[in-house]
Amino acid sequence: MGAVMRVRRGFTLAEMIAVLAICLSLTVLVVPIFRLSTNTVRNIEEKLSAYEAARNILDVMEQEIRQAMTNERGEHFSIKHLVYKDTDTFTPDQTGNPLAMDPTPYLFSRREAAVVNLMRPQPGAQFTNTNSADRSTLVDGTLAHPLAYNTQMIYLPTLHESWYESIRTTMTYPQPQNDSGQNVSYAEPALTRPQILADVSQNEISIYLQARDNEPEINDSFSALYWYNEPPYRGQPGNELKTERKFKDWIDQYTRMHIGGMNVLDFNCAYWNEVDGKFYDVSDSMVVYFSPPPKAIRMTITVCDRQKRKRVTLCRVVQIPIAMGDGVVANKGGLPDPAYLTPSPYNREKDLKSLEPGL
Amino acid sequence: MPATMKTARGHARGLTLIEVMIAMFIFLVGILGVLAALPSGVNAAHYVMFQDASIHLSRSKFAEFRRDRIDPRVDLLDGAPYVDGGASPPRIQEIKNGTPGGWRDFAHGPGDVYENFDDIEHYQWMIDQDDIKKSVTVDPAKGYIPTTNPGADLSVTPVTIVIQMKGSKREMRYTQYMYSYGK
Repeated sequence: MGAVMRVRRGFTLAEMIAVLAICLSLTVLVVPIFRLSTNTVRNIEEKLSAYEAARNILDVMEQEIRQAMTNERGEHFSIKHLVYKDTDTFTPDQTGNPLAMDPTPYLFSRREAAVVNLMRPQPGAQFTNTNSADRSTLVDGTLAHPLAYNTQMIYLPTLHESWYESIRTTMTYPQPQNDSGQNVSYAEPALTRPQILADVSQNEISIYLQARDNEPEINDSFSALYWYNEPPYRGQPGNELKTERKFKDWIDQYTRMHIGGMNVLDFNCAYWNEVDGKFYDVSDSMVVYFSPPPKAIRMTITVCDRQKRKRVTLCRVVQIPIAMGDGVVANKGGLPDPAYLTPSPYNREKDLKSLEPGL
Repeated sequence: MPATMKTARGHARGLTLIEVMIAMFIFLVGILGVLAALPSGVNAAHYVMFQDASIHLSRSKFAEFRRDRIDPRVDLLDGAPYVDGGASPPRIQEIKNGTPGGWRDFAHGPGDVYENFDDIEHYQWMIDQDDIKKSVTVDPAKGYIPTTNPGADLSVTPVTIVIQMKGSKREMRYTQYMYSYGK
């Protein structure tokens, strides 16, 4: 028999045990290192995504606020400052007392909610076809959203003098609920403030605009729109945009913007006092009306994602090019002014609670 | 000699412990190689975060300069009252923190501008002193307008803010062209 019968023997039990023991030792050594590394990478990537979202949000708000202007009517730039206590376990109570408001902003269950109201120009974005529903073509050279907002009415696009603008969070002024009678309709009902406070990741920056100089009204008898110049007091204290107005029209989808996705827990806004050379926060539950606006503001936001994995607090100083105000508030540190209408100077702190009990 | 070692009876024998250990050593080297690559990913992510933070900070600084209506060719020079002076006119910007190169911290004490900026204590900034001494002239080749008067001073100053992560060589440079407000 020419072929030699060979038996390929395998590993012995002792060899297998030795190899497995070595392999196991190596694995045990390597796994924690690997876990540590992957956790580090994940943590950093989560924080990085929060940084990127914060930059995008601040970029959009900055380009809006830099357009704040004054006009011959002396209309106001105002900053409201509200605080809410959330019920989300993601932001625990600092003192352990769920009834007490945490004094420290940004870190615990105290949510900062600012509202910036301003006037801004209409820099362009006019439509070539003014007498039809075709609003797809901009005049050459005019600017597109979001720097410019298109004309509001589908029937009669007009040239606007300016826009009222309100930058706030949906925590402060929740979106209107579905209302078929007012053509306000969402795929899902808008969240209420208690719902947002129970899940702070649902809070969004909301930018809402309303055209200045055109007061539309539908005459139901003729199904036509009539236009009126707005009276001077439309931008006065107490008349700034609060809840989103409901028109019997398509205005909402073109003049309201929510910046969602990566959302803000906090939005705070401080104003520059030229004389003292420092930024001042507006006191809790107060509003300061400026005319003209201060030369700069400082926006501070805390951002997290919907999964509430990481958050980051960043701020940005924004210069307002057209603003020449010194930012000195006449009654800062004194008693708040309880009335909306106050003779100039208008840089006055007012008690928001007494002005707006609903807040 | 055949490639496979055989016993005298022709049996293919298994691997020895030494061979297995060598194999495991190679395996370990491979694993360590993979792990060694992870810190570079972490570093890259850290760098991007630094980029993001420095974008906020540089834009804020430019906004502060414009808010204060400075003349960059005068007020941003080392030793100028705006950045290094005393009470008249009031100095707004942070003083140098003593590290070589003329770096300045971002003010982040209670009530300061950058009080609530995450990890702000890790960053420092400075003005490129060479850039602000440059003048920008009309150069049609670069597209600067007007094109009818080549060589004319455009009266703008390139202001470069350098932001550094402390304890590292990571730096970001941001340049904007600024006019003098003339106060």
